[in-house]
Amino acid sequence: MTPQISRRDWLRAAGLAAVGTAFVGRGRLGAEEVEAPPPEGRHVNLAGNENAFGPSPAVMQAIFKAAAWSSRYPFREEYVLKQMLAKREGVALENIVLGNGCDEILALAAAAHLGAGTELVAAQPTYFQITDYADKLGAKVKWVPFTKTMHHDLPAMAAAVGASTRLVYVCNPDNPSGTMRPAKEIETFCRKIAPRAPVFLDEVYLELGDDFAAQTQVPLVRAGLPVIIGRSFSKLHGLAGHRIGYAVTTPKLAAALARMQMSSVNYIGVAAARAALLDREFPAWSRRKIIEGRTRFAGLLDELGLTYTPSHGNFIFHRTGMPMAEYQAQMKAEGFLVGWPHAPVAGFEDWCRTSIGTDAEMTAHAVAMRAVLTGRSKTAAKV
Amino acid sequence: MTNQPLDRRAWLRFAGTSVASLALASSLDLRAQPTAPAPVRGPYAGKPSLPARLNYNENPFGSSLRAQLAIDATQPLVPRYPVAEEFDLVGLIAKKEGVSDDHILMSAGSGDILVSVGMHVGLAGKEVITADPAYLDVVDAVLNFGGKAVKVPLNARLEYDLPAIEAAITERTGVIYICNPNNPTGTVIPAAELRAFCRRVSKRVTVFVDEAYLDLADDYAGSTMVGLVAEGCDVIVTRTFSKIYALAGQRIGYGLMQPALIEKLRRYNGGGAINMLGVVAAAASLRDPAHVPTMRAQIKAGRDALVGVIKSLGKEYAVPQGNFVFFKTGMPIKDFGAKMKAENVLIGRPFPPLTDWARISIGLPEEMELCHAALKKVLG
Repeated sequence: MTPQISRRDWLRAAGLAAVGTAFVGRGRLGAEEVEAPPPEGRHVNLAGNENAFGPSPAVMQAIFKAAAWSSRYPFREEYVLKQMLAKREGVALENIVLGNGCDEILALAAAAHLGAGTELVAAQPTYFQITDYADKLGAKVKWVPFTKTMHHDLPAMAAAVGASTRLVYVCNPDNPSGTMRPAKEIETFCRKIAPRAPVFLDEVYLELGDDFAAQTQVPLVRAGLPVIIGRSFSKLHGLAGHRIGYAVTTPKLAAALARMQMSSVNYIGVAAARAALLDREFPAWSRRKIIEGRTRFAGLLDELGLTYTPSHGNFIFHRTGMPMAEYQAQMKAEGFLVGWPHAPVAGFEDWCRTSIGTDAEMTAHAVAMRAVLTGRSKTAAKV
Repeated sequence: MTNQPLDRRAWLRFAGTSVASLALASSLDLRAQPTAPAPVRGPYAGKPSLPARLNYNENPFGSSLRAQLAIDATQPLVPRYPVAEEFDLVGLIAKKEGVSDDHILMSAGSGDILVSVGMHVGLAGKEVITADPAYLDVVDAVLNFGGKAVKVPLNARLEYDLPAIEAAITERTGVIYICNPNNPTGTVIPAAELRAFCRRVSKRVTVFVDEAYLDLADDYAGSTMVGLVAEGCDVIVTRTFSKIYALAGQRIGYGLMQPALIEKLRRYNGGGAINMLGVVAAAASLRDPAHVPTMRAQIKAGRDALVGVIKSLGKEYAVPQGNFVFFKTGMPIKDFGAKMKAENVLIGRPFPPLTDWARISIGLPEEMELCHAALKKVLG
């Protein structure tokens, strides 16, 4: 087992590096040194799969208005948001659970279904929030390696489901590989597996695709199959900072998730999410910008002769030809944070996940990447 | 509805469903002039609600102007996860609390830590000891995850009965949860007594002191138990930005405890990620030296006035130190709640077993005027 850390821990560590040496070993700093806020924007962050294009002006306006109500708990507003989501997903209110990002939904699903003596089936490597949580709860993670093309190996995953399996995790599109299994295959898999153990289908990146409606497995929830669909406002809608995600699942599974609820979502985030759902222009524009940026970046990788996987997310997983730590350090010296919050997995030691930034960021990133890969980077120059 | 006691979230969900039909009414701005001089709070000053929303222990006076400016200034960072911003906030908290940052666990409100502790205790098959009635987040989580709860009745002053709690400790006890000031009663345990209790008992079992409302008490500095964390005792102190800082909507809180316990709780609190605007608003609030004393005085004025009305009606009450007052109406809470609602005043949920008592939160002067008149009408 490779050691894993949570995204928050990793972001914390990345942020620590990002804000510079002044904050390293902060536990030992004197009080006066933490008075000044850390410098902003010193690095372009292409390590968080954030949406560099968002949020939309309409959402910004909603945030501004909602700020007046930050002293209130958003219980009524949560209810309205849930109604909107239920309508959008074509399900009833009791099919929806709100969380602090999809991460909380993943944590709730693990808490509701896993514990000592139980198993979670997941691909390796995939998004680690739920696998990490399974570890914490004393459950066993049955890892099923990717296929050679770095796709989920659904037949092998189905074969891995055993008597102790209580949950199966499929991230589609996957993170970090960005690969996707078509709707038909996912549906067949769910119909076969879900009656034996609930399937958590993490669809946080699915909305970035052009044919979301044909790909989403929400119809399975409507059909009453024990499937938990995870979604987020962090990706398409650019609200990562607000931590709003949700589950679409059966009323029974929704109640099981709600029972484990640890905290509640924030007022401004709820208002922002509601405005995002009403915004007709931004999602399409955001989607197009991300796809354009991804296509351009893939072109660069082709040109540099670097292997990568076909991504359906706002990032690309690609080889660098050098150990990750070294590549990250050199890219950081060039002003870019890249990578993914996971200790290297055997076989992927020189693979990096790079998020899609704005056009200007990606242009500058291309220059930096060429410099690093040709040994002309700032760090290399100093050696 | 069942006869089970409802936890806050379950209750609010239920209440929210009916409140939703009042959507328009509850966002109505009364545009009334404040009756007392208030500090400058900028464009986001607290607005009175109608019906007066005195049911959730919120602080409608509004957050520090600095917090509001920080929210505005940080809007461009909304698509980003808060990282450097969280560091900044943790640094400020470390300075305020006199502990190093490895003693601080951030949380979405303090609820996330309450539940994490409950999971930790429940999964180990252990027990939580707390008072009855008290705030139930920890108890619910312990029960949800396979542990047990031991509830010790409050004493005659509606305060925690520390000797009885200490006598209830067994080898199965995983944590003692003390909400100080207590919710719903609002009472504070005499500081010297609580400090001695924590020092002694924390040698055997973790003592959790929830200080969500303590900033609003008359003697915060003398009453906080954070010094025990700095001393190395196995004590958890939690705080929230929801109450005196008026940022309930932003869901920011934190726990102070020994680093080894933080490592254990991190295993469970994966859910409570905190949000960017909340983080910067909280940091800006801590940088505003005027906010806490001003707010404490405003809430106290509202509390004293409400107690005055309750006394004039000849009703028994618990000595309040939070932003709410708990008093004996002598009427079933469901009836009393309905009568107050008919007067456009929303009051706190039932707190069994004290079902003929009511909890009313301190709102804006306009809201309290409405409340005072309603109380006189319903109970006079």
